[in-house]
Amino acid sequence: MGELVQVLVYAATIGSAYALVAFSYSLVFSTTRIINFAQGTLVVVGGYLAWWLWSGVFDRGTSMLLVVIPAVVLAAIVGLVFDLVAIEPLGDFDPTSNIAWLVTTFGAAIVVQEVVAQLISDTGESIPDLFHSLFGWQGSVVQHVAIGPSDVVLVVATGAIVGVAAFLQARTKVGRAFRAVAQDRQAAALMGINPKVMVRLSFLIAGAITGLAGILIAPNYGVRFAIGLNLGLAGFVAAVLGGLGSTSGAIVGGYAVGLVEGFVGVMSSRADTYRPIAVFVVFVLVLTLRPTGLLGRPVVEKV
Amino acid sequence: MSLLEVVDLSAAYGPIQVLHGISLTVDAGEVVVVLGANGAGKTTALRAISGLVAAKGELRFDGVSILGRHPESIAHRGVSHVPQGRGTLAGLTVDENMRLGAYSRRDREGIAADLAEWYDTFPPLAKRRSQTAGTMSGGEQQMLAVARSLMSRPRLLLLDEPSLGLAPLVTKQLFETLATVNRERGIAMLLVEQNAALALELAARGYVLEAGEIVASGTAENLSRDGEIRKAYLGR
Ligand SMILES: Nc1ncnc2c1ncn2[C@@H]1O[C@H](COP(=O)(O)OP(=O)(O)OP(=O)(O)O)[C@@H](O)[C@H]1O
Ligand SMILES: [Mg+2]
Repeated sequence: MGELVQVLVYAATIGSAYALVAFSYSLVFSTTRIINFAQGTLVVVGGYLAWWLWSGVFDRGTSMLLVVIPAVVLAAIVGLVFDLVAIEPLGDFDPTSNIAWLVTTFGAAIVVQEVVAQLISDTGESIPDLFHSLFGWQGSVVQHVAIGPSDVVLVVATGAIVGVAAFLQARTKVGRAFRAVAQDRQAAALMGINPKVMVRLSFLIAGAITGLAGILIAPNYGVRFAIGLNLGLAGFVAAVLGGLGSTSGAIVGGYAVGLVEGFVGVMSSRADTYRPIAVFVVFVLVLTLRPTGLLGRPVVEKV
Repeated sequence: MSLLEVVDLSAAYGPIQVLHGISLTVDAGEVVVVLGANGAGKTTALRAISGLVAAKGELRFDGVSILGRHPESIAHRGVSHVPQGRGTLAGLTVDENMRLGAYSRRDREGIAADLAEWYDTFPPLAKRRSQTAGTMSGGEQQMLAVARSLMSRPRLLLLDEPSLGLAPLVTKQLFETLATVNRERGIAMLLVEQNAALALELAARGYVLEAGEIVASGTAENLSRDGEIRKAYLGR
């Protein structure tokens, strides 16, 4: 029983972070049909920005909550810069035959990696919890598993972000235009929609969401480069597992990877070694049975 | 001054030249047809006008050069292109497609009024408002493509084989609707159509495109009487 709780708590919290990162990959993929391999670096960029604002700019004299919004905005801008620097200069290109985007997004990732490496110490930085208490609740221990306010915030924030995004996509003019570009760039342009603007928007939102994921897990895992790499990779796996371009797929994929890792965590004493292997096995199995991912739909080629 | 002026326009796909300097005009409120065999370059000509294909030469809409502009900016100016093979957004509902047609407009009431009017004109669409466009029949999707274009209140409609895949009766109805729209709203049309008989009935003038060049032009009446055109496009 206690072990099951442990698995579920792990899957719910880290799975939420994976789901957010996967959703970000998916957003960018839907408008561009590329994977932004620099996406994962935004996890540590978000964490770093929050830490820098909190400890540097505000001199630790403020609540973490106050730095979240400016940090997310800055992360969004970094996301947009990826588009402006790595993708837009490529012009109109077919991502399946011209793979320059692979080089430019990896290049952007390396640059960000080097810059952040200069800025944070080798052991990483730590920031305090966003919430010490939630309506007076300061955390509980269920079956020997500690659940804190920030765990709940992470799960609720994920649900809220995905819910709001789905609502905006379904109900607003910009949301419809976004889906139009995701589906057929040329047809959308013929309706007067500027595809470039929607692509920028997807990078901007993806930057904000991945940055936020980095900030939300920072109190537990610290601001360290390895965390960014892990989340960037796991988020990518989750996005492909769930079906690239599908919002629900990204969420399902995120929690699925969280669950697999959670089970490995209670079954093995060397969880850190076996987690990636187990995830990889599930990944290959699912993609063998369903090449478009759990909830992905095959791309219908238009003639 | 004509609404659309195309002068010596050339276009190529990579090294393959498809349009070899074509010239044509469409006046405000006028319906003009382009006839031509498969592969003559009709679709390419429309794509060059709406900015989907890069072109050389002169291209003016309402006196302003639109050569080299992005498709969305040309659409904003009032040119609406209904591509061959529809170009509806298959994953969005009929209603979402219709509303996106009015993307460049800001007049809420006008949009609502047009929406009601076009649903009235195309009853099958009204019945399927919340159906995903991709699950509709080919004919229904074609109707949606035209209705969606009209939602933008264009000044010039570029129609690429609107009758493709439609039953003869539906084609006839569609052309009647186009005639009404042209008469009542004064929307000019540049029409590419295989059903030359119907097209020449609707159009005031026409051009014949062969291997990327305009080889004949004139009033619809004169074109319908021309022996070679009768043989090639009217089949009699
Ligand atoms: N994307 C493309 N790349 C290369 N060549 C193309 C492309 N599109 C069209 N072509 C070529 O350009 C020529 C003209 O094509 P276009 O589609 O304009 O003809 P069309 O007159 O519209 O024919 P149809 O009546 O069959 O629709 C054809 O020879 C075609 O093969
Ligand atoms: Mg054609």
